[in-house]
Amino acid sequence: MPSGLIKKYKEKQALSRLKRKDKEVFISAYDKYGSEINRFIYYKVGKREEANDLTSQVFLKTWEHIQNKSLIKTNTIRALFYRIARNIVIDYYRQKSSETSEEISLDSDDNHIDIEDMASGENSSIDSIDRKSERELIESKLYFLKEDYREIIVMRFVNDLSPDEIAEISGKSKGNVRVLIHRSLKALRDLVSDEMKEKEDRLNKESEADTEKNKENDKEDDKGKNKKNNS
Amino acid sequence: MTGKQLITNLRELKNEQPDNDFLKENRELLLTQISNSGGEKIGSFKRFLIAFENLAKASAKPAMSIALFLLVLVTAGVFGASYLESSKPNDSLYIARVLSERMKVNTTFNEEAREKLASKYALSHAEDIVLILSDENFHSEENSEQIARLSQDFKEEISKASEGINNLERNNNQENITSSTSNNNEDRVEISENSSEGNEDGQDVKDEGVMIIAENNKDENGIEIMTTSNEEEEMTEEEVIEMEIAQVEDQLKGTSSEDIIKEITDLFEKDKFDEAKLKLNVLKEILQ
Repeated sequence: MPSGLIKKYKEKQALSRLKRKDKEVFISAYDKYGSEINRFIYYKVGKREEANDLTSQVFLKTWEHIQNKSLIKTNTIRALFYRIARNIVIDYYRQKSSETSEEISLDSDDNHIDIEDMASGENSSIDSIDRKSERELIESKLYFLKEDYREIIVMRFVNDLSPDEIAEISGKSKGNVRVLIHRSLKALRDLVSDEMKEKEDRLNKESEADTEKNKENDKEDDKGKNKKNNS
Repeated sequence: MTGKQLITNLRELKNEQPDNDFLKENRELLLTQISNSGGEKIGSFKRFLIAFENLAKASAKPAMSIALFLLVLVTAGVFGASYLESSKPNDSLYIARVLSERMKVNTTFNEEAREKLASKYALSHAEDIVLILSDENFHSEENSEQIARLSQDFKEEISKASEGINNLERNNNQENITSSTSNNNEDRVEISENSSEGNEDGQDVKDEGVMIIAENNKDENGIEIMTTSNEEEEMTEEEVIEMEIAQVEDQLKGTSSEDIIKEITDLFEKDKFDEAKLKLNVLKEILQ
């Protein structure tokens, strides 16, 4: 408990210094959380370049808030960056929707993002799934999830945020966050399991087809041999 | 796929990292932006102020303030007691020391122990006053009021100690008297038994017994006489000698305490502080 209290106190200390435009604290916070925020945004938007651009915006926006003394109230610097990142992604979606004149619902089950920068560099398709590892499969299925579910999975399991931190960032209660974690994990597991089952069925079918083909080939070979013998 | 496997695979997505080049470039951009818009390195004094401010805010919370209060109590109890004991009459914490000593005296239920403790503290205060006044540097015009006050305090402490010692001695003497009267009662029984045995002389023996009882007081020198029955004549002489020795010692003891107190007061008035201190130590030993 004492170490937890000390950690909390240090966080408060860093946040206070940040509010007072402490350059050193800001840059060290960037070094510490920069790649984490980038990864968070990447799994939200699915595009590397967009993710990089939005990450820069997050830190510039944070500094702007410090200048204007309009910082969002949070307990830690980490939570502050995440909240600003979420807001920036929302703004990005809004801008995108106005460009495409389509409504993008953040809670829609059909919110599927086309991933341009997968590990294999290909769009997800049934053929490419055959060649993907489990990890890649999971990564691909992540984008089929609802926005809320995807966000929570990335925060909890990819970026290792605690349920308390997630509650502070998302503005939800701790209980609600725990329920969401459970549901999102289940939803992802169902997607992945369905995919794996399909793959298995396909493989079985293919192997059956191959077996039958081989049998036919064997029959033909036998017929041919018999003919030869008779002649 | 099990939940565990899924979580393990999800954790591997952590390997998704931005380019180092991008991170570096962005860092430079941020540094430039910060420097141009008033970002500064906060000095150590300002950091200390921020830390103090955060601590003050944290201590405003009930749980934290209770914890701090308990910590202060415990620390004060541990270190304060020893520090208080060493505080002198011209220290600011002296009042706290006096109060704590008073509390200890009041919470001592045994009367004798209470008198002893009160006298011990009074002597200790007197000793502290003597120590301060024995310092030549303290004797200046600036401290003349303080010296007068300390002198007055010294007299009060000495009178308290004297009173306590007298009470203790009185109690001790009373105990001696009660123990000696109980011895006398036993002798009375023996004498009456003797007198009942000695029927031939009957009356004479009785008279002798009465005489003995009547005479069983202190003589001119204040020495008690033991019963002088025939059977005990040989023993009583030794006992008488022992009693005489003990009583002389008691008398000497009693007079020496009073004399010592008188001597201390005289020495103090003559500004012979070192000698007064020595006499105070003698008194302390007597008390113990």
